[in-house]
Amino acid sequence: MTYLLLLLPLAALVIMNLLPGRFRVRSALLITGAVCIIQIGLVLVHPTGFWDRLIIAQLEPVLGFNLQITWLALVMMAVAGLVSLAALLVAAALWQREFELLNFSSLLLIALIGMNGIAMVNGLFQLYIFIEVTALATFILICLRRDRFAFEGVWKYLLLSVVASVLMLTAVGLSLIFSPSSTFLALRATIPLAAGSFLPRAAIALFLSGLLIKSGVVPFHGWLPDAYQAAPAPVSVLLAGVITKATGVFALIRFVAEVTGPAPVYQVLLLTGALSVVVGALGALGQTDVKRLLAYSSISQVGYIIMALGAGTTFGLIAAMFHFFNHAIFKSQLFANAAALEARAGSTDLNKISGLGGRMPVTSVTLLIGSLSTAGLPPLAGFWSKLAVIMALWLAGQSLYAFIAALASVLTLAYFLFLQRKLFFNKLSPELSGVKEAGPLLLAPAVGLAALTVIIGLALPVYWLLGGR
Amino acid sequence: MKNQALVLSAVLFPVIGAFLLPLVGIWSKQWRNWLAFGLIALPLLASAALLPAAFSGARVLCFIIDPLSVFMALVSALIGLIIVLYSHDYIDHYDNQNEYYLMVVLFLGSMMGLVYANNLIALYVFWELTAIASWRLIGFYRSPKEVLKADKAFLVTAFGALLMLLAFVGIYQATGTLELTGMVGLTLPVSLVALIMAGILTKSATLPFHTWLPDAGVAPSPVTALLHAAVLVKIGVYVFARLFLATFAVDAVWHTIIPALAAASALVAAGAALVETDIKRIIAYSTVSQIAFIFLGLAINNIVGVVGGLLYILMHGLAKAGLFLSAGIIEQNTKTKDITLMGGLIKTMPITAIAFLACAFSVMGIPPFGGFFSKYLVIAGAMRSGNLWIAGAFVLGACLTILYLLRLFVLVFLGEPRGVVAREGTPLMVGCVALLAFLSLAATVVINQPINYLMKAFGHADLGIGLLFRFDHFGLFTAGAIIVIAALVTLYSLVFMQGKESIGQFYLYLWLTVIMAVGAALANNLILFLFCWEGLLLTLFGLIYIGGQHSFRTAVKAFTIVGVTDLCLMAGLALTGFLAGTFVMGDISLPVTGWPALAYGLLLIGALAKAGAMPFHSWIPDAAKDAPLPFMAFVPGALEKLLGIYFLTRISLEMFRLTPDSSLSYLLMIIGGATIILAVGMALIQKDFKKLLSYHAISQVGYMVLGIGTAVPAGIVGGLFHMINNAVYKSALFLTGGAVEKETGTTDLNKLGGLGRQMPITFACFIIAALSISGVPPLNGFFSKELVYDGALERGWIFYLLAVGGSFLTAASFLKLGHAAFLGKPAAEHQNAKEVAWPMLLPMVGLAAVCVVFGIYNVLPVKYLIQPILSAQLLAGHHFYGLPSNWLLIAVSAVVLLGALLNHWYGVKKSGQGLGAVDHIHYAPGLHQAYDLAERKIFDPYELGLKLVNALAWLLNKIDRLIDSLIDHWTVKVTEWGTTAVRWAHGGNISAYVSWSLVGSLVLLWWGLR
Amino acid sequence: MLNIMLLVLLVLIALWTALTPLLLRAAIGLALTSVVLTIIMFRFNAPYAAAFELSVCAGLIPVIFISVISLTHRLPLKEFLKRREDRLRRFWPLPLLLLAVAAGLFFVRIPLNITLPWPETIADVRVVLWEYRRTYLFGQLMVLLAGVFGVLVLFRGRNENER
Repeated sequence: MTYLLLLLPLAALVIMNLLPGRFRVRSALLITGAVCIIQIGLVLVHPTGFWDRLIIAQLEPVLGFNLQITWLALVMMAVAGLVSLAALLVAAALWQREFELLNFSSLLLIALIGMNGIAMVNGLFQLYIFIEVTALATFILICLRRDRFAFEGVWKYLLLSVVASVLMLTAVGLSLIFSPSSTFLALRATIPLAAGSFLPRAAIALFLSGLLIKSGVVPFHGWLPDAYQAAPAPVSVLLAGVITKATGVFALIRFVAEVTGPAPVYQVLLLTGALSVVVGALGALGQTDVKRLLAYSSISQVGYIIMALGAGTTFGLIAAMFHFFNHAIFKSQLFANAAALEARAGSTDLNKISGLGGRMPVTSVTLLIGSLSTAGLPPLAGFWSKLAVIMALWLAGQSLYAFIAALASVLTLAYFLFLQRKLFFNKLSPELSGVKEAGPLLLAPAVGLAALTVIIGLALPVYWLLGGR
Repeated sequence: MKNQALVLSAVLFPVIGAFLLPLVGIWSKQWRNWLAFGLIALPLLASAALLPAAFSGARVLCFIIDPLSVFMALVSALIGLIIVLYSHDYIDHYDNQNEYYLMVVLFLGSMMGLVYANNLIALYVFWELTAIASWRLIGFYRSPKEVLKADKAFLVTAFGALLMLLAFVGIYQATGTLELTGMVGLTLPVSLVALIMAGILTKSATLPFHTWLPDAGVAPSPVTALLHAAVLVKIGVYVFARLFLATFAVDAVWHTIIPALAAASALVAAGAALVETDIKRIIAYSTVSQIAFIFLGLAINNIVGVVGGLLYILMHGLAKAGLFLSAGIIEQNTKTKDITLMGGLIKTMPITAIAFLACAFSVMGIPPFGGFFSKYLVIAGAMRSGNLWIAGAFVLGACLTILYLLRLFVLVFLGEPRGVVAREGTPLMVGCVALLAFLSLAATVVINQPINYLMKAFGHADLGIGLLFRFDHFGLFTAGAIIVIAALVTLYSLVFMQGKESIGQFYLYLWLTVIMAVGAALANNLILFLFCWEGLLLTLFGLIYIGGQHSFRTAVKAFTIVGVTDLCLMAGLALTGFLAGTFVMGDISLPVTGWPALAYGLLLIGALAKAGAMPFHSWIPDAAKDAPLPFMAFVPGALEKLLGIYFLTRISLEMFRLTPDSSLSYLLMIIGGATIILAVGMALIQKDFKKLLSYHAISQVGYMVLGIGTAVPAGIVGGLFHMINNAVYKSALFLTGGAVEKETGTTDLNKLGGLGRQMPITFACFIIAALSISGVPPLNGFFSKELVYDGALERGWIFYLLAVGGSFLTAASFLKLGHAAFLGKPAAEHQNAKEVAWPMLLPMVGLAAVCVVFGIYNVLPVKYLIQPILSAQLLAGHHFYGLPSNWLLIAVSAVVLLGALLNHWYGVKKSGQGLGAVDHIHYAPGLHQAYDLAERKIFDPYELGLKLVNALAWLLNKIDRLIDSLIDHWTVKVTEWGTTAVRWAHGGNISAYVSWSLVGSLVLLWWGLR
Repeated sequence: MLNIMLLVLLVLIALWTALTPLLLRAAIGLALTSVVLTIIMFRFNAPYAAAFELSVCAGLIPVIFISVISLTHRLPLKEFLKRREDRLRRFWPLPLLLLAVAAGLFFVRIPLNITLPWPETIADVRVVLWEYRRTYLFGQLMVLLAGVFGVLVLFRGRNENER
């Protein structure tokens, strides 16, 4: 019944596009929101029995998409639902035009289908296809408002995505030479058999580089800051929070966890991960635009996930997923904050806005929570995942990378402190004296996600102390 | 169960309650303030309630109750509570008060969590929570400068914390647990210790990560007090104690590395504190410097040091919080932090000034304040560990502490106002400061409680700082002499000090001095002895300070010299106690070779400085001009000689066995001889009654030192006899000088003359005392000098010559003095001078009578006072009383005296007046130039020392700035290069992006095909 | 031999597609490339793949492209010449690069002596599509749907904007 997660958004998409004119926008938003919430709900009550007992299970022979739900998929889909909901709220708060809202909701649902597909498929080629679904929806989302700037950003994204697609397709083709099918199971079984041949290794290398481009890992990251910055506010929430993570990082995690395995891949992951962590943080330090800064921060944080994955242990995988989850939460929250700034102060350029701490208290506090969580300050959620990453690296014997991971946190802290200083603590510029706090709809995702960050951060040690371990 | 609940409430209530404060604050400021107070009072009470269970080791969740945690919790909560109380008024005028209280309470709550934590990760979480809170607190004022400094503090400490976290992960890997109690006794590898140390050093602001602390002085004063003095910087040392003392074992090499690093930190920070001009930066640097002492104590692997270090946390917390809060009052009322703009504030803000001074004394380690004990124990521990260079560096650091704190106090509170006027702070604020000062003082009374508690915490028996006295002959008679002279001086002062404004303070200090001095004379425990001995510093400062408008300079000089030498004494006592294995003075008996020789040398510095021998003498002539005269008669005239020589005798004859063939004996004799000649040479040319006497006070010490230094029976007996005699006639002389001053209003010899007829009794007393000091038979001075000559001759004719030469000059100078003051033509303006009242006469007459009695019946003092001090073995075969047996020596002395008389006659004839009687010596070629230089204080060791210290401070400050620029400038610079490179690479050129990706893929492919 | 010639033709057409400054010619070039590719696929016994290639890449996509391009306006001649020059200048290394890669592949001699162990079995196309490939199909459907929205957003929306 896993196909429910693919068919439900599709059905919603069809229904809301067929509705009569008067209630179209409002119902489209409600339906999309409902889909997101249902998805979160389905993920939360995931016991396998539940899935099988549904009546729709009888349709399995007809509609069974050969999907499978692992705990990785559950995390991914929960994140997708959460972040989509947040992006939807931001869009509803910022946009009024029917055209934009309707198309946004529709494309969001397609992207959601794509992400759910990525989470649940069990073959390399299927994975590729769903990545493409998500990516295509994203391209259009970014240029939804059709300004020149957005076109430039999406053009870079598109071009590098095409390169990635070519690489991945080639890899799929190569894999079909030495394996009966491109399913993960078959590949996992045949790769060791074909160990002497160069084909499996070439296939892995090509698919890996495709996914690394999609994840925006250094040195494959050139498109990322431009795309994030160019995207309209709600789309940037979606893009930064979950889409590049799903199409790139999560796919990479699945690929590494379910297909490859051998140690050389881990070396690559560690190396590129460490490079991303450092270059991303250094890049973020020099930015004067909030969204661009957050984009570089994304590169840096993705580096952590990749590094944890590169530890090559189960603990590393758990750490990577944990940080993946946390990163989605706090990064989409930070982009929601950026959206509030853009909406109220009219800009995200740090040279133009400053001293807003007193004017936008909720934004300022939530942004602080998100920043500190990103920088890995306890007791917020980001700390625990970063700790897990560091521990995973250290326990895997990669203490050098553990050092890089730990010390790059100082750089992370540095650019977030810079951001705080510029945005909230300096003198209020006179033209901003009339700025007010954003409305409840725009604050809701920021507050909700920040609360989630705090709750996870606090719940974990409490659970642990009460004897969980 | 009860204890568990107490721990949880101590931690959780403030941490959670903190977030209620802003909400309450929206509703009512008053309620918020008191709620904040309550939220900090709660952990204090809870921790106090845990005291009985402190040794239970009970655990709950990730918290543990043990002596260390309860102690630290009590200290931090107590200081935090006072600071919050102070904030009620201080913070009243600013924005963001809600955030302030939230962060303060959160900070203290996290501190509680950290203190009670028994789990590495919990420790880290609370550690970083304090960092977050302090980040917002430092940036409280929110302008770019403050926020930047706050960010710096945050980044530096976060850097260290992350390194520490890595170490924790490493520990987890090694042990598989995060519970501290589960890893007791584990030996950590060097790399992990280094990582943890990085965290601790950043948090506790120790070299090379210390510069964030002074920079963070931009915060409001209660915050600086809370963070930088009392609590935050103590986190590092606490964790050090928790991990490396209570849990892990570490390599021996760390017992050297960490103290060495701490020593560098202590010195560099002290140097910077001497150069800075911002009041809060100075105090912050002082914190850096003092933290190093705590590290020293904790890191030297020695129970005394460890207990001292922990005690230091308490004492330094109280005192430094007091300093910062005082600085807050000053800053708020003067609107500046620049000490070069302040001055004379003691007049308008007396309570703050006194409290500030008290806290400063505690930081310096001056009794009777609590800081004394912690500093002593730390240095004692360092001495025990045998790491002399490091201990020496710390003694130097302690000396610098005295200097920079005194400099701060003088510039801010004393002297003339330099443009800034201020009034006293609000009663609440001043009350808080006074309370802290009082607590520093009160800690002394109950000092054994914390010390024994901490000893027990590490499984040791009580340290035993007891009120242990011994009432042997020597002590009793020294104490008796002190009391008798003090009584006479008091009697004298009844008239002399009448009408002076500071008379109340005078008597207070005088009798405190007596109590301390008697305590020192009777003490039989090294620490008790040191306590009393150093306690004299305080009254010394006070007695000179009340002398007049400008006497504070002299007070500072005296304090500095004596304070610095007292620190040497402290180090020496610490070493002695360790070498002897006991603190009981009567049980100590050491040779003077090797290590004990060093100890003896250090003790010698203390004794000589107290006695006023060269080169520690130079404050005495200055004091003669500035201080009240009874002070001169009592303190430098009698008491300090008694005590100094008393202690010199104790160490030379009892505690150490000084033998005639030891080089230390020669050293003593050289010092004695030089002191005699040089000081009397200076006395000769003085044109002021008191100043002339003061140089004699120095010169006479030379005889005693020489006598004891000979280490032969005649010399020792002579030295001691001279000590008694000197106390008598020198007091008498000063008192006659006082009588003259009282009647004429001056002691300038140019303006005096012919007083002999108007004040006959005074004149008679003067004559007797002067004859006695000149060594004219049959007065007491003659007999003691003859004994010293005898001893000196036995050891070498050169010492004998020095002693005899000194006698010649002494006689000459007194002839001049008497002639100029009492004979000749009466000065016109003193026509109506008359004899003084009987309370002033009585002490003079009494003392003069003693001179006669002790001369004629010298058997009395020698047989009944001095001989019982010395062992029968030493005295065997000698005969010291009655007429001297060596007639040749008497003849020489007579010739010398006659020579002096002739010289006087010649001088008077040549210059035509009594005052010019020695001008022919003064202006002799060669001597003339030397005297001029001496008058300009070229030879003053104090001035030379200050120059040296200034040079040192300059150098240390440069080192500090260099480190600061490494952290502040170069790390930023390097990061900027990286940033620029990344930016340059992101030119927006899509082809470049594609190329990187393709190159990346090709590399991957190549690697895959390899 | 014919295979080699077809491959060379494929490369040449692809180069032309990349180098032409006119969008319309590029779209036609894309279709031509697909046609040649289809022929190659037929020759290598992959009829399903060939059919898909022909229908989607040679048919559907160029149609969409051309219809989209028809909405754009024409360039003036001067601008066209300038663009051509510009393009030539930017892409002249492309043929050289291809030659270099070919030479490289020729000399490196990748051991391509692997025989396909699992030859494609001929079965009913419908069965193949739904029984084995339904996930792909669903994904393709979604791609098309996204494409539809893309057209909607980019073109219908523009008209709306212009109104």
